[in-house]
Amino acid sequence: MARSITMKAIQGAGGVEVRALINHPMSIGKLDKISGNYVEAHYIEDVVVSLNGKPIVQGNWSSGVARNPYLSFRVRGAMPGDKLRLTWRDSRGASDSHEITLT
Amino acid sequence: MPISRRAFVRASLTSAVLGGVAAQTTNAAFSKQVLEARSMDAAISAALGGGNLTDSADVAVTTPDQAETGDVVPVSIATSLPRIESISLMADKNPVPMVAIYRLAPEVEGFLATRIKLAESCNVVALVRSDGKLHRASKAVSVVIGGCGSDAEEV
Repeated sequence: MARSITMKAIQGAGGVEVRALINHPMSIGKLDKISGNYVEAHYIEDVVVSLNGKPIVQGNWSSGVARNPYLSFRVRGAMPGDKLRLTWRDSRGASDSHEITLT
Repeated sequence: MPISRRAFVRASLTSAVLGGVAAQTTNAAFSKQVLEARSMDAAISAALGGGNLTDSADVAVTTPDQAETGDVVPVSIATSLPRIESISLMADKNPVPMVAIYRLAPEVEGFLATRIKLAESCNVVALVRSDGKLHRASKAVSVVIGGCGSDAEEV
């Protein structure tokens, strides 16, 4: 599977701005229009961003987060060489993780 | 190799305990109560335990005034409050009002940007927990086409 996470960190004064984009349908539970069967919601429930292994942002999501979720935040005191890792897990138990090194 | 009953019990207990520890290192998902809460108040008390809720001018919610479609609505939250523990995002007319909760470490600034779905025109509400208190700010968004169910055509 192609990597689902794109993440970059932009150095600013006193820290970095992190921007992450995840490819995910984030679908709500609904009836299938053709078959009439109920299709369970499929969305990311849990997302964690760690800096050098320490969780700094822990997110709980409902299906109200838009498709292909985008998340941006700023971290004070992050230095070049620091490792930033984003991990997500969805309601079907699938997960993905991606690490970048700050430059 | 046959495995004794005792060894089997010990092994399963160990893996149960280790499994529990592993589960704690990741982040638990929203509980059923939060996802089934249909009102703002019920969702807040299920997810954040209620507490002192005050409207605050120190929290700014930025969204477009009008969204063509509720599928993707950019939202950003900025706050100057000290010692932020969590930032929550809600939409008062969504079937599931609680959209997201972010727990932040002290080195993360009081700023978050993301994109959410809105079922219809509503208020986007941000709740910031700082020093144990909940600070609330909201922003009205008018939505032309709702964002719930419209992903049916995609799949």
